[in-house]
Amino acid sequence: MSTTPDTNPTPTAQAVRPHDAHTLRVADLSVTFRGFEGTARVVDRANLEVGTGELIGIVGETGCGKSVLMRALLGLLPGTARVEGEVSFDGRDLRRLPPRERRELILAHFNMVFQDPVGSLNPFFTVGDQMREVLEQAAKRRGRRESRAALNQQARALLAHVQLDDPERVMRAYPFQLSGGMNQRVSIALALSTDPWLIVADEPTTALDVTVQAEVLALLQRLVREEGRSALLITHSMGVVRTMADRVLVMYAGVVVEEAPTAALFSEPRHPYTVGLLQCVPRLTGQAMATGIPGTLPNYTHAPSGCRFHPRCPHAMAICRERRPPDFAVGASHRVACWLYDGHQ
Amino acid sequence: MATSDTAARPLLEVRGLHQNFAVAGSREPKRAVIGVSLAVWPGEIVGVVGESGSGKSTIARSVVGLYRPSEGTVLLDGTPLPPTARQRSREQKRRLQMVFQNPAAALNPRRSIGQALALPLHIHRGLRGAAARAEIERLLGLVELPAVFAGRHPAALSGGQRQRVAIARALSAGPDLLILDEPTSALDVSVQAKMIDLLMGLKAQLGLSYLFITHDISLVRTIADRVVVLYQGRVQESGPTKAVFSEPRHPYTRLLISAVPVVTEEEAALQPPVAHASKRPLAPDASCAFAPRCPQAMERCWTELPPLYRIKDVKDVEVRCFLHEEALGDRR
Repeated sequence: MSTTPDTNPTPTAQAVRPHDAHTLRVADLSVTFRGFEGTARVVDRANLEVGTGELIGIVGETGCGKSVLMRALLGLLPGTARVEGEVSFDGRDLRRLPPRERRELILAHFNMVFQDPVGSLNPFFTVGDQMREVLEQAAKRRGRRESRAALNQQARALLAHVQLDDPERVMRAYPFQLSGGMNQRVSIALALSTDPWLIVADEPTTALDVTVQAEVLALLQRLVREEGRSALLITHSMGVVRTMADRVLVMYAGVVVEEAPTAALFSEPRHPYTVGLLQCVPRLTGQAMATGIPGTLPNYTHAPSGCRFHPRCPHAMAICRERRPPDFAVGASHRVACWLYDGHQ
Repeated sequence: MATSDTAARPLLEVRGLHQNFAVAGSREPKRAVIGVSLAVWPGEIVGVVGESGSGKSTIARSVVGLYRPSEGTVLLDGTPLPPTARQRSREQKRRLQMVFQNPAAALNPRRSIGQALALPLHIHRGLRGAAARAEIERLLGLVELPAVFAGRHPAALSGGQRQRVAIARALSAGPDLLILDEPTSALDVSVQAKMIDLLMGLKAQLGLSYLFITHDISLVRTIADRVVVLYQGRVQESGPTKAVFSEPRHPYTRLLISAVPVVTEEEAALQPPVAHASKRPLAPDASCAFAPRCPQAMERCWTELPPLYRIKDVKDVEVRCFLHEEALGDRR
């Protein structure tokens, strides 16, 4: 897809400015909810670090806690959630900042793209209305007031920047008048309007056809690679993280069970869950796939003792029932929470 | 597998199916399916693959008679079926059963699983009372669910379990062919793998054939004997799965295969390189529907509809693309 040359060169002046180096660090982050049946710890002591220019994938099946983890670090969880642990940005613990300061910091550096592009846009307003509003707010936060013409100009530039062919037409359209792929590009343009350092994308292509998915993923990748941003990509698709991410975290039942550079994860998956999950993916080679992972995701209010995967694990040992495995290093930046690797190396 | 050499005629045949829908505020109908022909031979799995809007679910619904075809015929064992389910005999309906994509919507939330299964048992096989209860237990066993599920309601079941119930309900009639419309696309891969394993087991055990509709081209490669690739209502390529995947001929098939995010190097090696397409408005019906996205589009692709060409030295492969005009004999 080619962009119209005359609208593309300087989208918004900020969008091409290389970003300062930042670090987002999540340490021992847990999220618990209280329900009628007891307390559910849906994220259990997760660790994660994102540096500038990194594209990190978080992969896991429905209910593994990947979206809750993302919401916890953006401060988007409801008040009923109890969050413990540390989320720090450049060494400042976000959870200890006064609410207003934390909000400003998150708005200034982070933004999001959601799974359902139509549902995350307002059906009653045109794309132009929604773009202008977000751009106006972003300008206000920088202490500026922009004219309507300037906002329109910025909005058109951003839409062209996400490779929408006819920004003028898209500006006038309501979300229902656009295809799923176009709406997701609009969502990405909205996310870019605050010029975020980190883009958090939660299943951004799950609702899209495979050929459109490929285009949107390529766009996201370019926005990170060429503009010095960082991204957290949350997905259930092993294939998507393999094409996109530099580093991958695999989650099971609220626990990060394995973290590795993408190439290492796919050439040498270590955790029995990662191995099982990969074998369930249908292959273009036609090679027979596994017959599934035995058992089902546990109930969080009565989570299994020790390693949460042990009731489904083909290699479960006595210790797996008793003690939660710590992270064992099994290679360069490759860690796995599994007792099989105790004393490895 | 390979029963096409031995069986005299296909179990299911769709001939020249057109399905038009009226569009509010427009004189022009939406042409969802345009002249699709396909066949399922006894014991075969035929995969119909395409993206949203390609017409694949419409084909499924026309086959079971939920839509009255605008044109074309559905044949069962060589006998033309009446166009709608209402006009078909009980016996004809028994032999073709359908499993829908969304099991939550396909099951009545106010009826227990037992009630959902009892109705078709009564209608198709005249079973009631203890005989029906025993059969419900057997059907639940077939889909590997415990008998106590008969007393539960759909809300108490997981997505995978509901889909098993939907399969059990389709089996309750005693069908020869299941039309499976995206039966696993709402499921996680580990659950999908179990479901596929179950479907393969049932097929072997009960001697079924499947018309398997999906958007997942890797899944089709893994399970189907033959594949039909749809784009905007027309068959673009069809043939034995191995032949189509070892040398995808239609640029759309190539694009589909190359767009899949794969998980191994071996798969990546199978993905053909795809160039970018030109942009130009399309004249519907007097051009190839894929031309606007096709990297190899030629002048005539914009002004002429390519027919389905039969590829010469490759058995049963058909491609709707001018690039393959020389390799072949014309079909239609």
